[in-house]
Amino acid sequence: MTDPVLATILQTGGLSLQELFGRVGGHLSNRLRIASLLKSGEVRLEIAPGEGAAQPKALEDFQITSGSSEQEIAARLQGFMSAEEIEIVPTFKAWRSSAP
Amino acid sequence: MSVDSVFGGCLAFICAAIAVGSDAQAEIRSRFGRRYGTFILGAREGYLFILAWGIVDVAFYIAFLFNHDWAKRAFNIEIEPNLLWTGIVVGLSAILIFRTNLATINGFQIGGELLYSFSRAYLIDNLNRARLRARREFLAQYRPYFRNTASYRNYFSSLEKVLKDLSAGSDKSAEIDAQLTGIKAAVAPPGDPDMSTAAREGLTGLVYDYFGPTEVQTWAANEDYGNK
Repeated sequence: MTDPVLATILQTGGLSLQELFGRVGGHLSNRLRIASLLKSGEVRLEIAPGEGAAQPKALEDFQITSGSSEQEIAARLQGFMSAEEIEIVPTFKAWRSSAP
Repeated sequence: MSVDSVFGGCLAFICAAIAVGSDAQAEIRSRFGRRYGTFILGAREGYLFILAWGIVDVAFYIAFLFNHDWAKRAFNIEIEPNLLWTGIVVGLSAILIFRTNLATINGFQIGGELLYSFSRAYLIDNLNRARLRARREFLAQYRPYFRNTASYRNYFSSLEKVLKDLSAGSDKSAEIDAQLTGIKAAVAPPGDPDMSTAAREGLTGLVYDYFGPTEVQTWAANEDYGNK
């Protein structure tokens, strides 16, 4: 069965966290699902350039590292639920594994 | 090497380029629909993909000329005395040839399937990155207008009218309607997308995705972002 979160990200080719949570809902199970996709390398976070100074500028500012647990990442994502400048984008791995 | 065999190789290349290009474009269309910026010849990787697999097909064509039995046994391709026709057949059969399993050793399949699907995923990934980069830069120019709900009160409703006019009767209308419904449903507080930054961004992205940047720019210039 296709994961609806990954399916949405693949169908759009990538979208802001604000748009994604707007479409699939920002509840804990979906944030954990996104955390799992981030850890498995099927999606990555990117920051749109030219945003306000108060916005995070680098992925390190998310304080998400390869050592972060899914619960920790899900908690961080909660703080970015209305982030229009942070985009979640499929990686080569996601395109490869979803190939027919 | 005869002149016919050279021309046959050229035909194999041309037909293979068309076959792999069509296959990749169909795969991208099945994933992204008819979105702006998803034409494979709009990116350098698209040309690279077609060129590389065209050359591989010509290599198979040459190998077949030297080994008719192998062509018949492995790929069910008859090598005709007419080398021009053979070139066309080998070119049009390119995807079948690339994806055929040539041997299985210790349960591991030897063939081009893995490489072909890897290269196609690489193309999709790169095309999508270029598309997203362009889309992101475009939307960034409009972000002040998304946020300024006080000065541009009719941004959403005005641009929505443009989108509906553009999509009416087109083969994209069902896809667009579904996404527009999703954007409106996600509006918080509900019922007034004109006052929602997210809805404005979603709608602008939607027009960009299906009709390109020019339609948004024209609307912005003619309608002053919904103020006229």
